[in-house]
Amino acid sequence: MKTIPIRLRHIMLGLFSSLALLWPLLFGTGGTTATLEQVFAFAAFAMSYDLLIGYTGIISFGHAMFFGTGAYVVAIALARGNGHTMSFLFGFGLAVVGAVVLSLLVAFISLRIRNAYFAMITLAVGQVFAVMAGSQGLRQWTHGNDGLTFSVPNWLNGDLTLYYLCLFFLFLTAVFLTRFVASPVGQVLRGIRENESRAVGLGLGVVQFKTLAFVVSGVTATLAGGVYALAQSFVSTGVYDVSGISLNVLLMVVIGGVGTLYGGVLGAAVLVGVQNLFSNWSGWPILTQHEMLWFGILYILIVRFLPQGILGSVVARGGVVSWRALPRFKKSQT
Amino acid sequence: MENLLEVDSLATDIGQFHILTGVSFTVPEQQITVLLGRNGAGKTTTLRTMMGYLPPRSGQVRLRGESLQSVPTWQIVRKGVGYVPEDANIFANLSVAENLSLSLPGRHHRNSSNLALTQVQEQFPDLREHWQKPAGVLSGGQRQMLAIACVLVGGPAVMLIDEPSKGLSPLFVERLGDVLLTLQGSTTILLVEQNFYLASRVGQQYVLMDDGKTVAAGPMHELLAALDLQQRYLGIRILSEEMNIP
Repeated sequence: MKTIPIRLRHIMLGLFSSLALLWPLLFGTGGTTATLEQVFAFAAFAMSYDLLIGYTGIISFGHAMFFGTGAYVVAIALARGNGHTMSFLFGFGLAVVGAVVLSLLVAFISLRIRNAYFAMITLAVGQVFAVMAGSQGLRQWTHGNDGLTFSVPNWLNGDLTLYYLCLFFLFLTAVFLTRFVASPVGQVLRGIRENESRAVGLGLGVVQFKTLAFVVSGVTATLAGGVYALAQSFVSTGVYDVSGISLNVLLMVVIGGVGTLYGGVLGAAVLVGVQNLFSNWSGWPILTQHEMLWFGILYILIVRFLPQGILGSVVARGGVVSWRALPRFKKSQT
Repeated sequence: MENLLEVDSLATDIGQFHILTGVSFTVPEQQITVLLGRNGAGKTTTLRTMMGYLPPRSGQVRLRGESLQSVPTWQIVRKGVGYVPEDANIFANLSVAENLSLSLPGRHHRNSSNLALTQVQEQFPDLREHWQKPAGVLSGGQRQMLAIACVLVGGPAVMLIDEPSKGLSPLFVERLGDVLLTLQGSTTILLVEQNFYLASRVGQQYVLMDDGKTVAAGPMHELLAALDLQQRYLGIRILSEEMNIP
């Protein structure tokens, strides 16, 4: 388990916070702030996922079910409530309740079984939600595959307000999850991740602790989905997509550094940033038309040269990464 | 002397193999009972069955008369049965202090936790030097000390310790014996041990196993006098016979 040294953490937080706070004032609102809003929502989502994979050792391929549910519940509440503040509050409140119920249900069904089967069950449940969101039966609520456009409360209409709301949400998520993983519960989760059998042998209720982690992660991911929907003022079945959301969040955490918590922020910035770069770039069709191919190559390079992710590798080397320190392919001896 | 643990006609299968076919013994309170036997006799399987890691085919394990049948492992621990397994008995990536605090039942109460950790530092001075280091950097002997300390801070009614001397140098076996001797009279221990020297040094009671069942039990001094039992079930050869000394 990699622990970010406190000094490095403070420097990173200071730099990131200052840059994020000043960005719209220095560079204005518009395209970049819209991208950053996505980054903040995905960063919170990635941090919630790292709580599972990095701190508890649970691999879920269906984390999009929480993200998507948060996005849809907030979107439907705002669409039905004509963008009223009460519908905003009701939407987020309902999303939290829904996330708790959903995560308890999935945990009850699947957390007692082995990790590989757990991952398969989360994948299946995630797919059920994706199908439901696009189904004709729920079309009056979700608008099926057309997606749902909605208006946000008046006080959120300015670009700047929305930007700072997303940033504030990421800040709150970071503070909460940092405190959570540093708490005695977080310590138990790290123990479970490392040696589940021994944790049981010390009298720790592993299923109960895993369930708690799953609920906390699920609620955070749901809120992140709600914030993402706010930033877009639109939601479609894409928020439940396995490759677009569930696998992307896994990539974000792996690229940033599993078990570092803040690595997810870096991973989200890299992935969302590069995705936006590709989609806005008209030149070099070989790059823009085969986006996933390049992500695949990036993933292979990260796994090969920075197996602990970007931030994880920085931490592992005491805050300094030099080119010489990177692992190389061994030359053949023959 | 009251019996804290009772194992009654325990039988356990692993897959299609009958590993335990009839294990019965008692563990008296505040004594060290040593479970002895050759490799493959079923000692570790007995401990794992008692802890609920393996479901028994038949038989009973009782703690203060209460059956532990179908009780999940973590609840058996909460009822007061501490377990130090043979391998993988620490969290290598957590610090020594974190390993210990995970085992504290009242870890949310800072004062009681600090008191328990201070006692561990006094009892295991080797660990004090490595307090904030990852447990993975400890030597084999220090790891065993940590594993025992982790269970000890939980305040168990009885400790089940599986071959703590395995792979340790004679010096560490000696130190381990010293630690176990400090627990003699205050803690109830069921110790699985291959090292007969250590077993006879710390044990007050013995249980002898062979081929998945118990074959003898009683006070340790009786086993020390029963050379035929030692030879038949533990493979300890009598030096005088080996060397043809009349």
